[in-house]
Amino acid sequence: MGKFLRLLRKDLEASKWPVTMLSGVSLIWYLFLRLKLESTWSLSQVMFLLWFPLMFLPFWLIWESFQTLRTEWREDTAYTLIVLPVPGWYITLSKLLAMFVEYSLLLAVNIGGILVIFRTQLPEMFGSLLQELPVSWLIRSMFILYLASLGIFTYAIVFIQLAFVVSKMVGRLQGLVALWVLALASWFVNRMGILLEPLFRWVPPVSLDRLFHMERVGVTYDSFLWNLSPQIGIWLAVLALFILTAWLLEEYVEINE
Amino acid sequence: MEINFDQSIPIYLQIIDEIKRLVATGTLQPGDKLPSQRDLAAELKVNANTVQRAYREMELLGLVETLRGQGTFVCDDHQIVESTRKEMLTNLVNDFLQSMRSLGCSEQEILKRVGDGLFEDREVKDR
Amino acid sequence: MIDSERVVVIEGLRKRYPGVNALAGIDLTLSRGEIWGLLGPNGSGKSTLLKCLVGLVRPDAGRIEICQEPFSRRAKANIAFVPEVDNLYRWMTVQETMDFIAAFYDDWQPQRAKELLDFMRLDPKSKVSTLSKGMKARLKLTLALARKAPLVLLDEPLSGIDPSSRDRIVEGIVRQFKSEEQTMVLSTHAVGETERLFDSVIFLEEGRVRLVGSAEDLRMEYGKSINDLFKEVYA
Repeated sequence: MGKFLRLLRKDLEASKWPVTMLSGVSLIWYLFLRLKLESTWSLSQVMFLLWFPLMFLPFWLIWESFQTLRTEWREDTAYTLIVLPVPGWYITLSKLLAMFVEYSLLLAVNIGGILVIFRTQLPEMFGSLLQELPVSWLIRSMFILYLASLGIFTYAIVFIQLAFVVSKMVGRLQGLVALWVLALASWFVNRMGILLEPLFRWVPPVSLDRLFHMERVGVTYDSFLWNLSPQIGIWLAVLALFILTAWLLEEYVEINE
Repeated sequence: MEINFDQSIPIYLQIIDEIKRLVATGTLQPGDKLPSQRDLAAELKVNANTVQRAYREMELLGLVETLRGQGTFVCDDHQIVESTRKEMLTNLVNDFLQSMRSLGCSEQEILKRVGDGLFEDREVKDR
Repeated sequence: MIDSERVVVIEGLRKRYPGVNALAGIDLTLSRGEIWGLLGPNGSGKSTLLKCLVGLVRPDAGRIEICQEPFSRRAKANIAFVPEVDNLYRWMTVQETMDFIAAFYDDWQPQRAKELLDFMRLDPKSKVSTLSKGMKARLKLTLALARKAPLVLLDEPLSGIDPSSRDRIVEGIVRQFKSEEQTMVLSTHAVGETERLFDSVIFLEEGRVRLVGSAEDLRMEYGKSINDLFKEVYA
């Protein structure tokens, strides 16, 4: 456990700079919009531009989850990492969790930044929304969406890690191999979702109405049902790919100049 | 201690030779302590096992003795100094004679050359 | 040789890269307590062999045993490996690097680490990215020697290093190597300056073992320095 935490700490410390920079850039962006709002731009213009940093966040996250592995190879620190007497999944999972922490931090900085920088304009910006939707409901729904986004990122990061590790097992055409692995992995995961679906039909569907407390905002449709049976197969396949990546990393990956 | 190693000869033999020379010239006195094996190895930048081997051989030769927990000492025996010195002299003379003979010198010529050499040496010093 | 003295056993080790036969069948047994010189010109397979021992390269065929165990994660804990490349995290300080490595190896000796830092004249507070090549080499060696690892592997530890760092590194090896419990393999293509460190030497040529023997015995047998023998073998 100590060894795993040490790896996690290392991955977090290594990302200190990009996270700080990105936070800085976002905050400057919000300050800039706030100044513009006071001088020339209209509220609707600002409202439109306000979401740019948050929209950029998923793309950055995908890039960073590839970058965190690539840097180890490019800067030769893989020579230290691969030699460590730890299971392969320590390395992949610590990177995955580090991405979660970075994502959560950036999310918090962005949302916090918006709330603080635009605190006097908030009623004007979101007033109509807040009149209809209770704050507690908004927070709860956002939290559920946040958890769901973590799930989607896990899916993406596992794919990227697998593609990277497999590409490092071949001498040439590494980029092409990585793309093929990505394609193959998504095909495999979807296929597993479909194939295993009958096994999990017994799992009751989740009512989105109830999950999001729709009755609290006066909307009720019984039809908002989320069928979990294909999802379970997909997640089992993702788990299998994660285990495969860790195993390949520990047993087969090579390092060559 | 400083040794200009000839790396074509086993290193441990050269370490033994150097210590013998230090004993014969009196730089190392009977009863003197030798540097620890690790220190000497570090100083000479040679493998510690090599120094260990040199020390072990010198013990077998009766030149040094190792006291448990205290270190290695030149044997406290003045005869050792004398015999080491004699051995070195014998070796030097033998080497010298062998070289002279290989150049075709007769015994007469060797004696004459040595005499001449000593004479010249004295003149240089007197001047 | 008693089993417990066989620190490394290599049998029939082969590794092919496209167009190159990096290792063409290596059989070696390394005994405990010795410093082994792994010698050969560039491309003779020294680096590939060391990387196989530590799991950075996976052999096509053959068997590796480290401390009487087949190669595994557990074997990795018994090895201190110093690659030729700069494998340190640049954004860490010297102290952070030491703490990071110490966390993964149970044989880390804090006292020895401190002494080595002093001896190597390394400032714990300096950032790795600001260290010169020689200083980085000193730090890499410190990380390996601060452990009581049964097997220490050094890949070209002196190549491209300034003379004062070289002296420190050689002296550090002589001082810290514990022959009662450790075995060291040091690869190099510059034999002259390191040959006095070796108990035994292995000459590699085109992925094969050309000659193995005790350094002193070879000097006696051939009446030559290892360096001259090296030049003759690869002439």
